[in-house]
Amino acid sequence: MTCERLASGNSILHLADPRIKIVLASFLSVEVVFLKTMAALILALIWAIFMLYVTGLKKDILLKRLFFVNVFIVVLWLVIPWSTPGATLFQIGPIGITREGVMLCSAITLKCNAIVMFNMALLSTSTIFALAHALDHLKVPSILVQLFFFSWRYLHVLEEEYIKIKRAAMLRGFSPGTNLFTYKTYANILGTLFVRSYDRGQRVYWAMVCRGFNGTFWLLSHFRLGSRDLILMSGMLILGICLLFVEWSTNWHL
Amino acid sequence: MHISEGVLSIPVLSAGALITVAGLAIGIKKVKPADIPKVALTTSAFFVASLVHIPIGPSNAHLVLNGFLGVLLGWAAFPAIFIGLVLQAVLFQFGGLTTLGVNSANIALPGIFFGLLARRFITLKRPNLSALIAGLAGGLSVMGSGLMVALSLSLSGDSFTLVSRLIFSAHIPIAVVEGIITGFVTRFLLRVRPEIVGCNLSGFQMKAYGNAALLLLITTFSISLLAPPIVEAHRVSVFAWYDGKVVVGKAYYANGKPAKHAKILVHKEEQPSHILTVESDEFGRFSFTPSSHGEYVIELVAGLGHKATTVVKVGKVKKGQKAVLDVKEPQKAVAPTGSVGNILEINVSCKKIEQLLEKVLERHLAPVRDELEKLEVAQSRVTFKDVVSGIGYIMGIMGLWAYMSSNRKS
Repeated sequence: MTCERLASGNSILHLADPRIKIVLASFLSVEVVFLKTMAALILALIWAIFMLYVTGLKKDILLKRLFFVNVFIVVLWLVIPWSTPGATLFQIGPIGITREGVMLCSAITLKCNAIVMFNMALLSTSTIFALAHALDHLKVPSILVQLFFFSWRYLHVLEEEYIKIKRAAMLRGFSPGTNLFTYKTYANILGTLFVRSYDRGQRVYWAMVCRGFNGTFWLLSHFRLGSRDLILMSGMLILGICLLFVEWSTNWHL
Repeated sequence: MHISEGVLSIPVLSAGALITVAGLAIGIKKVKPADIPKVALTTSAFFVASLVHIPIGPSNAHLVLNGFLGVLLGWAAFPAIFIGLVLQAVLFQFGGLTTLGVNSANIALPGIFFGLLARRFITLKRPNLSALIAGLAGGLSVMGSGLMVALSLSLSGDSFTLVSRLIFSAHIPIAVVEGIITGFVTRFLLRVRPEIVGCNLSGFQMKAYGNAALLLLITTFSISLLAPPIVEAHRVSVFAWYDGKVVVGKAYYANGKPAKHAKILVHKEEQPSHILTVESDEFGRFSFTPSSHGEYVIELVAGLGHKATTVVKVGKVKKGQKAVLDVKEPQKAVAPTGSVGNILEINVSCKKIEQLLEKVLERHLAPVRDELEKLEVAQSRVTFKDVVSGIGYIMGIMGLWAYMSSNRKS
């Protein structure tokens, strides 16, 4: 699976401490949600694009990801501009596009893309293992972290199983369509998947018990804050303050 | 299924986050160390299932399986779904950090509710009936999620009303397919490995609590599912005032939208037959000139038997109006002799001032009236939000009850 494709690289964002990145990503996401002025949102988006540039990731991967994110936004653009009451900007036949609707949609588009880009630059540049590790250090309930860790550990195994079962079905001439037989076949495939995951879970548990598992998840390595992390953190904090400053000093409201 | 970042309002986001924290707390309590691998593996299976695309007509949809997860895991489905969403957010940027709470609550709560309900009726003895019930739970969970997504959107702003309806209707075909597949998966597992469906990870089972309580919950839940559109459709309001010459008013639905081209009947003082009929315009506004003093009953007929009435008194203001009109006659008579008598002049200027004041007041009161009108609209809109918060209360009480019953057991 090509899930963790964004996590490979050696930019400052890839090498930074995942704890800092999680904290910064949460802080920036929440701050951007609270922004109300266009100027601040545009600034946030520019910063987010800049951070993606810093990661040095390939443009086509990033654009593909962003394309799927914006599908929902496109639906909003198709509906909201004409269904929101307000001052009419221009008419298309009988439909009036309102200023309020367009402004709302632009704000949502900016917000959504800025947050997603921040998360791509900060979170997706870490491996899931590093994130789970960092979450444990950030005092997230241990059971949740363990669930997170194991789910990720066996995700690929199960996906491979699924691909195998599906391939077997295809080899026997199964072609999906809108009929009860297809749904039944998919249900049986999923059922097999659940049986295998259940059995494997059982075996994993016994194997862990054999190795002395008692519910504690030991952490052997610890993160250390370096100068790189401090630079990143101060940079992001300055950005946060800038955003608030722009937010409070402009009147360009939605 | 997923709501993107930056769309929802801050109250909705924080409410979702709070519900998710509560749900995670309950869910984590249910997971014992021995259950971790099983719950985790089921989470992975949930994630893989969300990558499976099932054909529906010309299009296809990915499975949600929240109802099935509710059947399998009970309350432990909450952390499972939450983790699935975290993985999707980090790996594919579907959903995100700020919407994580709302999205988890929207998917997990209906799944757990219907899953726990269905689990009660699933037995090895009657696999077909059990599969049917599980399938129903699977379909209803997706519908419940669709409803919650629509609610989170429409509570975030009036602009999202139409979008939320579209998204809700998009869930209907998915719910059907989901129901069929959940039913078949349950039947498959009951034949192949019944202990998986019967596996009691959460330790939660509604044994001694009577069927009456259960039925009550089901009915309240289904009523609250159906209530918002009905309430919205039935409630119409009319608001009117007399401005000295004409009676002006506005007709609107409970959601604040104007009642366009609605028929308005005007009765005089409770008389059965109406004296005239007016139609509201594009913005729900209407006006008519009263022929005489007295109370007018204005009745809005918005089709399908939806009615609203209001009473406007025409009389007291009418007198003021008359006074203004009376001014003009002596004014003409007085004008040439105005310079002769001081008292008369003061008299006239007083009347002029009164006339001017009348005009100025009229101008200044117009926005106040508009405000009053908006207030009235906002007040009647509360009913819709009441229904929504009602669903919230039911969910909350349900959670509390489940939590307490689980404590009693352990």
